[in-house]
Amino acid sequence: MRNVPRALSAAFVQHWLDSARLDEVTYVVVGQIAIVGVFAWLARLGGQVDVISTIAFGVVLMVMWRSSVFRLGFLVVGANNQGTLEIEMMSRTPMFWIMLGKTLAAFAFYGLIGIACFVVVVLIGGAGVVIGDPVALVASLVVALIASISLAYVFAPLTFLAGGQAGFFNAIMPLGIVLSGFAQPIAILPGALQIAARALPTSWATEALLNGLRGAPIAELLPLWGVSLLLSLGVFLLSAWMFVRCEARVREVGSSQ
Amino acid sequence: MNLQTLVGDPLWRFGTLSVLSFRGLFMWFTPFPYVTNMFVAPFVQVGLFAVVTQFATGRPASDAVIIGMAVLSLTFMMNGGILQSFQYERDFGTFPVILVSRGNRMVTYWSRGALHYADGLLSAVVTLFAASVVFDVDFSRVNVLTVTTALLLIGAAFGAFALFCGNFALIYRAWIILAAGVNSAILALTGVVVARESLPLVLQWAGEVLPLTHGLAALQAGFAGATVNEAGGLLLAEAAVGLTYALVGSGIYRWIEYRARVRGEFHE
Repeated sequence: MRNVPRALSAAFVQHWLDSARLDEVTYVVVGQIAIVGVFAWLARLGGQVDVISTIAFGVVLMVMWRSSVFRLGFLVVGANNQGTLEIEMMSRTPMFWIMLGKTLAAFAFYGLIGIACFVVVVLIGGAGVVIGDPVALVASLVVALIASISLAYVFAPLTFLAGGQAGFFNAIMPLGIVLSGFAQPIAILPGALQIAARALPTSWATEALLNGLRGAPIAELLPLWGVSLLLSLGVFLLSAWMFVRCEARVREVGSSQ
Repeated sequence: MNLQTLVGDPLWRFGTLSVLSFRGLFMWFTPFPYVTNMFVAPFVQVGLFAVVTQFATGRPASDAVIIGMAVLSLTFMMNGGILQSFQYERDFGTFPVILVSRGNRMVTYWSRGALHYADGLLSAVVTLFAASVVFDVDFSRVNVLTVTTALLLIGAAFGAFALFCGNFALIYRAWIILAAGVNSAILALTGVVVARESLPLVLQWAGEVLPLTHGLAALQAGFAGATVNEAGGLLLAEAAVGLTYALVGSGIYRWIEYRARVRGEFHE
C-alpha cells in the first residue's frame, strides 16, 4: 500500500497528459455545448433564478460525468486492445488504483470544461445565480463529485467485462443524467424512475445540492450526504470486485472476449 | 449493352455494397448496442428533455418539442452509422480496394447510406410512436400523408448531409468529433427545442442550410393537420437542402478519389 499514492499520482499525470489534446477538448466541447446551451435556454424561459442556479451547478457535474463515462468506459478495453494492459497487470499496484488515478485525472480535466459550461448557463440564463448557504454548497459539491466519480469509475471494469462493444454508452448516458438529477430534481420523475434513481449515489447528492442552493440547514442535508457517501463506497467496492474479475479473465483467457 | 446490364448490374452492386458496408463498417451492429441505440437511447433522450423542460419552465414539454426530439433519433442513427462507415473504410484498409474496382463510384458512395436510411426511419417511427403515447401527443388532427412525406424527406435530406460529412470523416479520421458536432448543431439550430427566432442571426442562417430545419416544421405542421400542399414550401425547402448536399458530397467523394489516385493520399 506504500506505493499506492505514487501509482495514483503517476496514473493521474499520464491520463491528464493523454487528455490534454486539441482533439479531446474539441470532442468534449462540441459534444456538450449544445445540450448545455439548450438547458440554459429552457432555464431562461422559466426565468427563475433558483432553477438557473440548479442547472448551472448541475451541468458542471453532468459534463464531467458524461465525458468521463465515455472515456473511462473504454480505459481497460483500450489498454487491452493496445497491449498495455499486460504491463499494468504486471505492476504490483492493483489495477483498481491505477484506473482510479486516471479517473481522477479525467474528472479534473473535464471539470475545467464543466466550469466553462457553468459560465455559459449563467450567461444564457441571464439572471445570475443564488446560493443559499456557501458552506452547504461546497460540501454538497464535494459529495456530488465523489458520487459522480464512483458512478463513472464503475464503467471501466463493467465495459471490459461486457465485451467492450462500440456504442455501449449511448443509452446509458442520458439515462444516467435523468436518474442522477443533474439537471432536474428527482422528485419530478415518475414513481418507478424515482425508485431506480434512489439506488444511485448521485441522486442523493444532487438533491442535497439543490436543497443547499435553496438555503436548507446543514442538519437537513447531512442524511442526504451520508446516504450518498455510503452508496458511493458501495459502488467503489463493486468496482474493486469487478477489477478482480477483469484481472482473472485476462489471466484465464488472455483478453476480454 | 442490354438493359439488364445497364440497370440491373448497378442495382445489384448497390444492394450488395449496402449490405456489406452495413455489416462490415457499422460497429453498433451487434445486439446490445444496436437495440439500445435504435430504440432505447432516443426515447430516453426525449424523456431527458421532457423532464428538464418541465423543471426549467414549469410547463410540460409541448407536442412540438416531443415530436422534434423523437425525430432526432433518425439523425442520431444515420449520423453515427454513416460517419463511422466512412472512417472505418479507410481504417480497415478497404478503401484502396474500392479505388481499384471498376464499379461506379456514385453507386459506392450512395450505398453507404442506404440501410442507414431505413434504420433511421425505423428508429424515428418507433420513437415517435412511443413518445407520443407516453407524453400524450395529440393525434386527433394528424395528416398522415404530410407526416409520412416529411419523414421520408427528412431521412433523405439528412442521409445526403451525413454522406457529405462522411467525406470529412474519411479525410480527417475523426468521426466521433464530427458526429458530436453534427448532433449538437442539429439539436441547437434546427428548432427542435430552441425557437429559431430566438437564436442570433448567424445561427439562424446556419439553421437554414441544415437538414431537418424545414422538414421538422413540415412534420409539426402535419401533426397539426396541414396538408401536403399547405406544407409544400417547407417540404420543397428540405428537398432542396438535401439535393445540395447530395451534389456537393458526391463531388467531394470524386475529389477524394482523384487525390488518392494522383497523389496517393488516404491510403494508409
